[in-house]
Amino acid sequence: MSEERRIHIEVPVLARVEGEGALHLRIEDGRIEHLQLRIFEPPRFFEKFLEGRAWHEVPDVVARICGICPVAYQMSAVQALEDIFAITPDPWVRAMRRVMYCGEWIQSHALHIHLLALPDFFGCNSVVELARDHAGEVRRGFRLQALGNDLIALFGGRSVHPVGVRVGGFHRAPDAERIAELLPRLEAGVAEAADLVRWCAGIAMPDDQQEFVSVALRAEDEYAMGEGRVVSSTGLDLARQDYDSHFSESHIAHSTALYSHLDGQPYLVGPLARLNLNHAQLPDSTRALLQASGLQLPSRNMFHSLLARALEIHLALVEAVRLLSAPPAFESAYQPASPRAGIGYGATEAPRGLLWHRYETAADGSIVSARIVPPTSQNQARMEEDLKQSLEAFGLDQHEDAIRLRGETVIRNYDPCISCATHFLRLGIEREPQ
Amino acid sequence: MSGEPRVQVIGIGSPYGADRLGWLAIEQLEANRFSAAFPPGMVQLQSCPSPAQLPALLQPGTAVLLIDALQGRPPGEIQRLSWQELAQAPLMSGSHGLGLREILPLIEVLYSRPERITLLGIGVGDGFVEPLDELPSGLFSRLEQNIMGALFS
Repeated sequence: MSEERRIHIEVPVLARVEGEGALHLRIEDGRIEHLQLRIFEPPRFFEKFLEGRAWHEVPDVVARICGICPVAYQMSAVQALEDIFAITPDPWVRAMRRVMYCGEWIQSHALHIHLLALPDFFGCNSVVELARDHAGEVRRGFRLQALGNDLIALFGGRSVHPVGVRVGGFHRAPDAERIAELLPRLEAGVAEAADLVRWCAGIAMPDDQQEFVSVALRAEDEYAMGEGRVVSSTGLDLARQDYDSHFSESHIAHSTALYSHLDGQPYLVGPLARLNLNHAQLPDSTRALLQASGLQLPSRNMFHSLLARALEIHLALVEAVRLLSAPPAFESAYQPASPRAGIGYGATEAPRGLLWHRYETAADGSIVSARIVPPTSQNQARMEEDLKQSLEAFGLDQHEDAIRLRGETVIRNYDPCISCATHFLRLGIEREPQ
Repeated sequence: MSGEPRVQVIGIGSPYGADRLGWLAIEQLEANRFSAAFPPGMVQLQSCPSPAQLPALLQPGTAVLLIDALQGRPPGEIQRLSWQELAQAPLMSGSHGLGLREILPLIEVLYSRPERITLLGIGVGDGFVEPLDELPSGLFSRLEQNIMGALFS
């Protein structure tokens, strides 16, 4: 019997993953025998906080769940409450919500690409190192991120935890002058986003082909963002109200985030899943960039998520320009709500993927119960599956530092938003010699 | 038409709690028409909700004065840190790891003249929730004097 050798590696700070998590690996006989992506950040109880709250407080409460994607939480929430109160948003509200959502995709994707993910693909430890060789590209990334923030602030009053969204529409319409000021910058941003796509398409990515199920919303006439049916690469096609009939959440001891499964199997949500399922609905100019990039869809390489995000930045800018240039006519920024008892569902595409909400209200509209299924918990099982396959393909005989870095790269590639807290990733490897 | 600004005064922080002091300072400077003391367009007053947004705000060649709440210093105390002092200060890490501590090294790489960046920290005591109405009177007059001192010293 060979002597057991265990190696423990701790990576104390880290890095470019949002929230508190850890990765634990045990390698035996050259195989991964045990792998856990541990999320140990304490539960934040937002669903319980919402119970008893007035319906009109919900958009501002759920915006506090995430500093990066507050708009997504607001959009899924108001959709669910409008479902209960029988409000159909008018064309102006639908269009302007899409513009605001575009802002969030732009800023979130730009942040992730440049500050969190790209350094991995250039052999850098941080964006600071990356900027030494690619200052122009990093500056461009910040300009794009700022455009996204400005779009959010146009409707929300501010870019972090915006307050402009309400059930039925917006508290107020944005000033025409501010829109006129922003439009030329957005048009310039379209060209910058096209440059970003071309640049990302030229970055060498690991060739890591895997089988996985993509899940995203699909709208009838546009690349889905704020509405649509839940579809999958396996042929699923559901109304958001029927989400529970195929998707399930469960608690696993090593994670404070719930795991989600589709008919018992892991699945992927997010930019690559959306692109895999909905690329035919991209605007012409974005689709031309996609074709020029050489990316074949559907992609089975998770590392193509970076290019997917760049393409979605371009899409979002094109959409924002289109909708702000010729917005639908409107009389009021919102429709008044008549609260009543009921159950409603919301499903929209957060930058990181499908975000599903369910609310039950009392007769006065106050919240009886709330359920929120964020994209990171939906991706959790897929991330573990990806880690196992990626690391085995990478080679478990590699040096621990290399395995750790590849593992972190795989996790970061999902842009997990474990919570709005400091970053901390620990990796523990136990390896037994063959 | 005004030209490009030569001075940027940027209040950093959350719009809430004691951390909103940077925002409050900018509001006060705007209310006092601080920029009017300079040629039109020369001084730009801005608020920044997150240090991660700073690199996009900074313009080439401007002098930059950052205004931020400073924990652990007596309420109302104004502390001026040069770029060199700022780079060595024990700053707290921000949420998402994108606080001033993480962003400053990036600014050093991206910004052509980081030595033109100065921080004016305003003490808020030991907590983030200390009521701002307990700040000493005359704080913002002193702040204006400090800004002028930083610009012309």
